[in-house]
Amino acid sequence: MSRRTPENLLAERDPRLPSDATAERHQAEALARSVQEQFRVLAESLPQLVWASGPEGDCDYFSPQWARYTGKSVESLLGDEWGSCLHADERERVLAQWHGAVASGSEFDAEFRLRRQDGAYLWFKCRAVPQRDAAGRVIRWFGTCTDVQDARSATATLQEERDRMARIAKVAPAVLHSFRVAADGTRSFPFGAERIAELYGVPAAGLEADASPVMSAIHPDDRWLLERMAESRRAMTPLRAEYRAQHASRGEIWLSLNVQPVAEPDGAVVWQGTVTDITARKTSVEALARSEARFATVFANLAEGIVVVTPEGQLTQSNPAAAVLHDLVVPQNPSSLREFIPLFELRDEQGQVIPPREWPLSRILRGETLVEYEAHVRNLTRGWEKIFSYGGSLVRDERGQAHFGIVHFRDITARKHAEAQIHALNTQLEHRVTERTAELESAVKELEAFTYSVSHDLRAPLRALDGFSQAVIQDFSAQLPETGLRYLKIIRESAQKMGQLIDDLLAFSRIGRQQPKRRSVDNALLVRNALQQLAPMHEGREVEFRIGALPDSRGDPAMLHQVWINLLSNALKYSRKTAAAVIEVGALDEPGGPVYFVRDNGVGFDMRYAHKLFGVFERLHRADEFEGTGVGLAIVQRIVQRHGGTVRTEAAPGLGATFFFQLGLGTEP
Amino acid sequence: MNVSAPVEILIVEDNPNDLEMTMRGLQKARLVNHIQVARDGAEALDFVFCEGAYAGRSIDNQPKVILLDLKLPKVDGLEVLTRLKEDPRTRAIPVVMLTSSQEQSDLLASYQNGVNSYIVKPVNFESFVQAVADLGMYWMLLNQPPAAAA
Repeated sequence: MSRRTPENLLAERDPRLPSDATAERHQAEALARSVQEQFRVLAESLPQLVWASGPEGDCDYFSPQWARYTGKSVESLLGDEWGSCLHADERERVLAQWHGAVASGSEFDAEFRLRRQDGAYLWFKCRAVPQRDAAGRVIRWFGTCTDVQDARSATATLQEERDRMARIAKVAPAVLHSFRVAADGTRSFPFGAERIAELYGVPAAGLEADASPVMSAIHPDDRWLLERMAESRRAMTPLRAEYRAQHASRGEIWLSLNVQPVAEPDGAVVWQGTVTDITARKTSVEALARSEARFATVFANLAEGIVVVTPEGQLTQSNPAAAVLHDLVVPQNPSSLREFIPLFELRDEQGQVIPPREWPLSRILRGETLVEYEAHVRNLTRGWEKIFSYGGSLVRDERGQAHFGIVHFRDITARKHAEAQIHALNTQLEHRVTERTAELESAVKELEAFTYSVSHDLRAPLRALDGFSQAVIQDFSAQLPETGLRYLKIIRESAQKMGQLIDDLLAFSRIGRQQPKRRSVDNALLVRNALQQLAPMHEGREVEFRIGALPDSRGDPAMLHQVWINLLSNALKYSRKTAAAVIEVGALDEPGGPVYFVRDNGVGFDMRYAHKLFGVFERLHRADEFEGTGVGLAIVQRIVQRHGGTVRTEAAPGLGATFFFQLGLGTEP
Repeated sequence: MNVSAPVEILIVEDNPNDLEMTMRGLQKARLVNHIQVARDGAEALDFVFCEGAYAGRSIDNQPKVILLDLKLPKVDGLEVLTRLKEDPRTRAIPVVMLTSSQEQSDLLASYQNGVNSYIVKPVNFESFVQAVADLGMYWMLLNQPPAAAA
């Protein structure tokens, strides 16, 4: 390839120049040189890299800027060699595009990187246009490469910035967004829609065009936000607001908005900035406020007086109770210990005056913790005296320095008096109990002596009455008239009756004094034994016994034997006049243990008198109907009661009676 | 009363009515002929141990059964019983305690002191006499004291 200059390029390639007319030719040559020169000056003065090629695309001219830029000689770039300066990534594409342009004769326009002499690749925008002859054939190509690195970098930086913003917007706790209100009032989220959707709990789709779902999520009570937005638009001032929204799944949430309006040429306003979820902060702030309010209420309404004092003795805080307890009216409410001290006098329980430096607050300020410290407080101006119970301690800051002292106190005067009274009463009571116990003990002894004496001595005369009446009947019946004999018989019967009464009464009193000795008792066996023992009462009578299941119980066997004897003998006695007597014995399963019963179909009684049934010597039947002393059921009741149990009865006149008893569970001694 | 005659029953009883009734009953039942009566515990002990008014009596001549009232003047029945049962010479004599008391404590004390039988005196004297007669007879027949046999 021969070296070409701009001059000969033009000279050779200009077919319009005539070759035979020398003068014209010289003229033309001069013109051509001038044009060439102009071109050279132009090409060399341009900041761009200038180049030219023949119609086939073989580049034959490179301006000196090329050499300066690439560090290569312009000769080394001729033909397609300039391609070696292209970035490897683009080389093929660019050359193909260039040859494509040459083939089609269309303008060449491409952006690519060219290697600078220091090895850096800068972006160039390359444009080449074909020069055509009259016939429209391409005769030459002229091209320039403009350095677009700066513009290119700025665009790239902008893009990078955008990307970064998007990334930040994705992760920032504050939701970066722009909110647009078009001139026609259409609201949308051109930026940040996805996170806005997430924040409000609304579907993301469509928010870029229509913000309505977000607008309707704003809490009905916080619609004022829209007015504030209108204001912000009018004055073009930043909008800062905290408001609530209804999140689809989280419920009420708190949001903090911080946006700046920007007017757009088309009349729209775009607010850009952040919106942040502050629900957690709000709720904790609210909780704190509530808690503080609660404590303030408690502090104000506590019956106990509370005073907070600084280490210097300033009374910084006190509740109403503190003033009331000290009988201080607000204007004279002292503000320091110094003012407080002269108003009061404190004494200990022995009546010794407590010096102010030993008063509860002084001690607390010295670091003591007081618990239930009692002192007699005298209000020197009002003249009363009360007893206070103090507590409190010193509160220190993080460095361990005294922060403030807190003392709480209450009036325990009434309690102290009550305690003193109780103490006196207790002493009195103990004394009385001792006295009464002694009295009772002697009474019990007397009773024992009495019953002993009754059992021995009262019966002796009765025996004589009975015995000697019998002797008279035996020895002197012949000398006695019928009436005399009858009278003697009455004397004997009466003596025996009285003997029976004495025996029953003694038995009853014995049971009262006797402690049941509890052990497992076979009630079925006791009933069998009792019926055997009572055989004389039912021999020769038609009595049907129906004995049901009788669970064992815990009790005193001898005493329970007596219960069964008494109940069964009663049943036998009062069913004596019933033609087909039926006596039923059994147990009911009830809470608290089995309830044993004895049922007869005898004469029964009127339940109106049931309450008298268990009294000693109480009888519901005349002695000439049914004999008895009226002690049997009293004994039954007393035995059952001594077992911690209860008795009850069901009866109707002529329909028989049922006696139930249930023993206690046996925990009593 | 002949002090040297063999005594079959010693009745220790302070109540004259009870005593007369008992005697009458026993005699009516033709149970015994030789009945010795002591009116209180001290006299009973004197008789048994041949002391005081009974110093001349032979200690070998002991009653076959003693009917001992529980409540007695001076020395009471329980103490008499204790003294009798403590002494080897008198330990073998059957003692039937007579009492109008049904007190558990009396009963227990009597048995603890080695009483042989116990009769509660009822108001109905017939049954009492019957009981005394039966028991007295029982012990008299049973009592072949080792001392007498030797």
